[in-house]
Amino acid sequence: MNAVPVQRLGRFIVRTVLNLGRFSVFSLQVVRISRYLPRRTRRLMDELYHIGWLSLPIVCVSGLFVGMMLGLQGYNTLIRFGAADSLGAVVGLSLIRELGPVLTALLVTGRAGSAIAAEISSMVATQQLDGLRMMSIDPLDLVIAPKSLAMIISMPLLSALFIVLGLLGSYIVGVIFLGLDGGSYIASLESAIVFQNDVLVSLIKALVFGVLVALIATYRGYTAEPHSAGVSRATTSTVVTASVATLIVDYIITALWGV
Amino acid sequence: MDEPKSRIHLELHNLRFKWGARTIFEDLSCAFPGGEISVVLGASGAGKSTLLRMIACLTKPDSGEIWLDGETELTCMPERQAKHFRRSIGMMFQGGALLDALPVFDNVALPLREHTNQSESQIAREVQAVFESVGLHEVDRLLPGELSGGMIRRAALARALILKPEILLCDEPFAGLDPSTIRLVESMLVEANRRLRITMIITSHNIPSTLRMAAWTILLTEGVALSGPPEELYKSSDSRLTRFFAEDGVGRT
Repeated sequence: MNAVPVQRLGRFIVRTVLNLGRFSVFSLQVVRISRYLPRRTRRLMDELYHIGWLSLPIVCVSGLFVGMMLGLQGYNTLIRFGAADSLGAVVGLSLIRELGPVLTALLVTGRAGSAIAAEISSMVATQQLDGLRMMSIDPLDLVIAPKSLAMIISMPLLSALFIVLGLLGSYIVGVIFLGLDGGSYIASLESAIVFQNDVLVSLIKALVFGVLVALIATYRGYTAEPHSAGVSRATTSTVVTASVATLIVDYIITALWGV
Repeated sequence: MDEPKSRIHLELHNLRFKWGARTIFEDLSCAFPGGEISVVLGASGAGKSTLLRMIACLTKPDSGEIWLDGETELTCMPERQAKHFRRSIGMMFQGGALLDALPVFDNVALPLREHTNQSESQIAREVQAVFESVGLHEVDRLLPGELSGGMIRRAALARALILKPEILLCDEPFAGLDPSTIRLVESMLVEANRRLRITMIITSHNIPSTLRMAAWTILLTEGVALSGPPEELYKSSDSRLTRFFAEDGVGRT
């Protein structure tokens, strides 16, 4: 019998378990070192600017057009059943429960997550992290923790903004372009949204996605091989892993919350 | 081979180290004199940078011991203690390893901001003094990416010296530099050694500069170390030494 596939499977499992173990240890170290963050306020503000503020244009534009698209598609579907007045509820629920946090996480992963992984991995390749260790400065403290926290803070805020812009886009298409009654649109939106089931879950999802993307991006960068190919692998792997993890965790949270 | 006649600052005993399947150090033993410039020579892949990393407790050998002043064993030091020990070591990395995102001034001031309670004005004075000592002018607000190769080495040396270390490790400080810049960096290192009396360990391929500046030389070859004063090593009839110097193409006079 050919044992090679079994060996490969075994190696894959061992490697996966090892990686998960290392990732867990890394995450715990980041959490532990985060208690020193109050003295890194300046660095945290810099990272909030790079991760949060610079992601605003892409999140706002995407949110607006996703909302416009949902408004158009929703209107064309609902009009067949004579339920066009429910457009606000349909778009609102879609955006708040799912599309807002998930699409924001995917967009921020592509823009800021990849940038974090690329920056940290090139610091590994050019020995900048070793340079910090030689100065008795923990790279987790100076580099990793501020980036992670900035990502965790930014994600729910960006997601909320995405949703607001999405609702605005849908309003523009439904009410201004297609002639729906503005009052009906707002009323159906208000009556359909429940804070605990919709808004709170949305914020929790965004927060969890922020933690996921932050840890995956920093871990991939921090453990990158110290050469240019390592930088590119870390960046690609961050985008792929964080995107897939976001979708899986989204399903788990939705299933657990029971909505 | 030989042991230094002066005070021994660092002693390496029977180091063994494998990188994957490749043996880097088979049974490496050598010593570094205190307050002098020692140059570690060796072909690419001989383990020169690894040796520096081991002294800095960034890499642990598979076996063997590294003694500081004959009192402290470094290889079994826990990370917390190693972190404290590294404050007494400066390291100048091959590419400088300056933080790309910070201006040169902030790069050099970083160790002071992290490890001392000095005010910003005191820090500024110390940074300007060390800039002066390595011949750097008007680079405070420049980013490392805006500096030339020679300036990067000087900034890296300034950062390595800012905490007044007892040991300075320099990884290939002359690599990729033109002859006049090599002379400049060389004179900076000699001057720093003369002024501060720190133990310097420099890895290099550059035999002429080694002969000019080194008080002690170590050649890493075939996983072991051959050491002695530079002229002695250069004139030795040991086949490993003659081969190394011949391959380097410098020739003997």
